[in-house]
Amino acid sequence: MPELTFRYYTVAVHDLDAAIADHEARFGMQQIGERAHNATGNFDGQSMGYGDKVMLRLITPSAPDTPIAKLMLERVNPFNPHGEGMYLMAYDCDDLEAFCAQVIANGGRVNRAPNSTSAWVHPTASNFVLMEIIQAK
Amino acid sequence: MATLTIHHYNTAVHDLDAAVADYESRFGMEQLGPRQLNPVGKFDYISMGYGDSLITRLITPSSEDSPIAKVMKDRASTSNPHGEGMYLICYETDDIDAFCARVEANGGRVNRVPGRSNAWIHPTSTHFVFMEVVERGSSHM
Repeated sequence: MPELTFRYYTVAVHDLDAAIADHEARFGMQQIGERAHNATGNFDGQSMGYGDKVMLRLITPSAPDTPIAKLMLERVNPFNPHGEGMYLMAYDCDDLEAFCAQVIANGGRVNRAPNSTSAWVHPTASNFVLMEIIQAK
Repeated sequence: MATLTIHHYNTAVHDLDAAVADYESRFGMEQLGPRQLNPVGKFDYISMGYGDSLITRLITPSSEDSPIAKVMKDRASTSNPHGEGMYLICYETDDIDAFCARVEANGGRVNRVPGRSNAWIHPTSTHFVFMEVVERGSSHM
């Protein structure tokens, strides 16, 4: 049976530099690797964690018409003016094929490009936790 | 330096039995213990994971005045009619006092009952991830 292990989570933020500085100062985290642009999702991201262990990726949209920007806009409220917060949970899986088949066989939706080594479980299948599943090496 | 490791996260759900069944069938997780009531947070929960490895606690409000019920109501939308989803991430640290002191020294807000071995970091201090931090090895799990 395929199992999941926790890998990292992503947090959508308004100001990437400010968020990096806060995570360094308040939580003692360090930047791991370089800031990187994700062309598919059209966002910039910086991995943060302790030593070489990534805890989370801070991500910020590169343009207004991107999926991350839309999600942030939808959750804006007076308390959270930029709609910041959790975006997705990423997990490693020892058998991505079997895991996706199990989700679909039990009424869940999975988005996956053919032969891709990662897949997204649709939020309606996971009580609205956006899950990315990555084939473990 | 007080670092963090992830212990589990909580997922707020509308129908606990249905959510447990979905997590069992779709994700192959097992119930790691019985359904329990958290009287302070006013929610019922069941821990889910693999073997002895806890992944998430599925939680559901036990009364309408539960803080969980309020969060769910606030985020209900057309696509998510019950406002389900992530509630908080719970982390362990070796030194809860040092961790909280550093958050506060750098402009963050911490909610903590004096002397307790757990604390909540205010969402405005975390870019709106609700964090619970627990001293490793304490009974507040």
